[in-house]
Amino acid sequence: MKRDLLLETKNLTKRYNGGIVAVDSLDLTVRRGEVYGFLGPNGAGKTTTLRMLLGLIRPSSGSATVLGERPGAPSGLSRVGSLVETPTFYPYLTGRDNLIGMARLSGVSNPKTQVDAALKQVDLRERSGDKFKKYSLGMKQRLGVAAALLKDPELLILDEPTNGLDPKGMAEMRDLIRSLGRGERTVLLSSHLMGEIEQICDRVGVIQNGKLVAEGPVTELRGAGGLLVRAEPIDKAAHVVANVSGVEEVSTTGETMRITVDPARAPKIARGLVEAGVSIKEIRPAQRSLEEAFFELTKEEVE
Amino acid sequence: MISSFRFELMKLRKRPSSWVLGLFLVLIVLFFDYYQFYSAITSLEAGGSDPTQQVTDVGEFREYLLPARVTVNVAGLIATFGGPIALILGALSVGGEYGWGTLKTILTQRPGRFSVLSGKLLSVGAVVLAYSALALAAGAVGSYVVAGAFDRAVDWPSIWNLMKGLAVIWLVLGAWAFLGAFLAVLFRGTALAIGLGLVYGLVVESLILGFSEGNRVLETLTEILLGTNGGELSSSLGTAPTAFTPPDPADPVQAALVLGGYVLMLFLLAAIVLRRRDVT
Repeated sequence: MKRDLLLETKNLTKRYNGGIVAVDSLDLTVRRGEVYGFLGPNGAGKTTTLRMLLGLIRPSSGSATVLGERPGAPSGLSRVGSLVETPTFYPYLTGRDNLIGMARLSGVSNPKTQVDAALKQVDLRERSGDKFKKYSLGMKQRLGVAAALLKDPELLILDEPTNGLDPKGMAEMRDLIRSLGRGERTVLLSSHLMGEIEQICDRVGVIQNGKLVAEGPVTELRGAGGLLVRAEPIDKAAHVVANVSGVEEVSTTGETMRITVDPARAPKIARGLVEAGVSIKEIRPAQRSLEEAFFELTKEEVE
Repeated sequence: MISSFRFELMKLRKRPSSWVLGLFLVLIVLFFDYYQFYSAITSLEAGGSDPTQQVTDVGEFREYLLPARVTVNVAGLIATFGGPIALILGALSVGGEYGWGTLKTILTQRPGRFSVLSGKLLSVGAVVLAYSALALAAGAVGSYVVAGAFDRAVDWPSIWNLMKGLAVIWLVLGAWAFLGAFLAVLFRGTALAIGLGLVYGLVVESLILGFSEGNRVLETLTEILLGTNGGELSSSLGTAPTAFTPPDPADPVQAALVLGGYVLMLFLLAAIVLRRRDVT
């Protein structure tokens, strides 16, 4: 299992002058081939963590290995593609020239071919001759992703890649990230947008105030789920359901009842309700969204 | 480092400010080395006044402007006025990375910080070499035109003299350019680096020189000033009308070593600062 870890941090900490702790004893693991979501509110320490993983910022304590190398080591960076915060390039150069320069710096063997392929992948070929300063925010983001893809990296680190994009651009970017994560490539996607993480990622790490408050598969974080039942009379229904084996919790709102239970027990619950003379209007599986799970996790952390 | 150097060179080649500074250098050479003295000489010959108030001997000054003395003339002018241009080039080359936030982009590709800085400063050195050749070429054109206007024979300096002149101009401009680059790394930007660099070059060095007489500490300090050593090195080629002539000309080899020392020291200091700092 250990050899499958592509990225690992141990007690990674960044403390700034003045005592501000941006990242606090972070233990993070990213496995080969997964799309890992790094979720947290603005200012939680996501970007600081990514900057440490790329060798831009020196940790105050703790350690990290990326592709078996120390962060920022040229041999490691040559296999990592990244887009940290806003994409920054030279405004007086064209998109293509910017990429050719980055390809040369990355040691790519055939820069022009790789640049063409990356431009095609992000659908920016037609505007590649324009200067970067004339690009819209969406085009800048796509150029940033193209730059990250030039090395055909094993690990792709993307920090808020949909920032500033319109809904259509966001959807396109999600599709692109999803396609990039297929196969052997590993993607570390940082975002504060829970829907984005939920749609794209296999596993999630939740960071709050610099600390990792939860880590695991999306389905696991969302919890076991349950059932949503609309029935009449609701009080009688709740009493019946509470006595069914396997039911952990029952809560009612109006004529709706939320049951914490394995959804596979729905037929047994339905039978019990019918036998008790309760009329069922609706019964369906209900699972927490990642957003609900996130708020629960971060609320507990704050408390 | 080679890939970094190639990319940096491409960036400087495609950056408009590099061309503007080069053009400015050419105009300075043509105007201050040739046009103003040519005007002064023709004015004095026509019985008028000398706006430069420097032409004491018309015949001697006419000789100054001929092609045979192009290296002396250009090197002398550059040693006096070329520093700020090179300083701006160095500061823009490095400081722009902080302004645009591109430092993180290039540092997350592959080369380490030392390679990135080496490539950057090597490319600055290459552009400074191009500026030096451009300044000499502008001087050659100016002196050729003046020789034609005075109906004098065109005698060019030897290749050795031209190479020596090129080396002197490069070393003088290079030291100033590296100062600009170091200040840009230190202040993580362009504005303060250029501002403080110009204050140092145009005010601080002049003040130290102005008050150095009779003051032992300041006198010693003048021996390591960029301007003083640039002047001493260029004066080893000959006396130029526009050049600052040091009060006590020292050994040109010593001046070259001091300027070379500046280049090396500023490079190392920039590397240390860049290596130690977080890129936020």
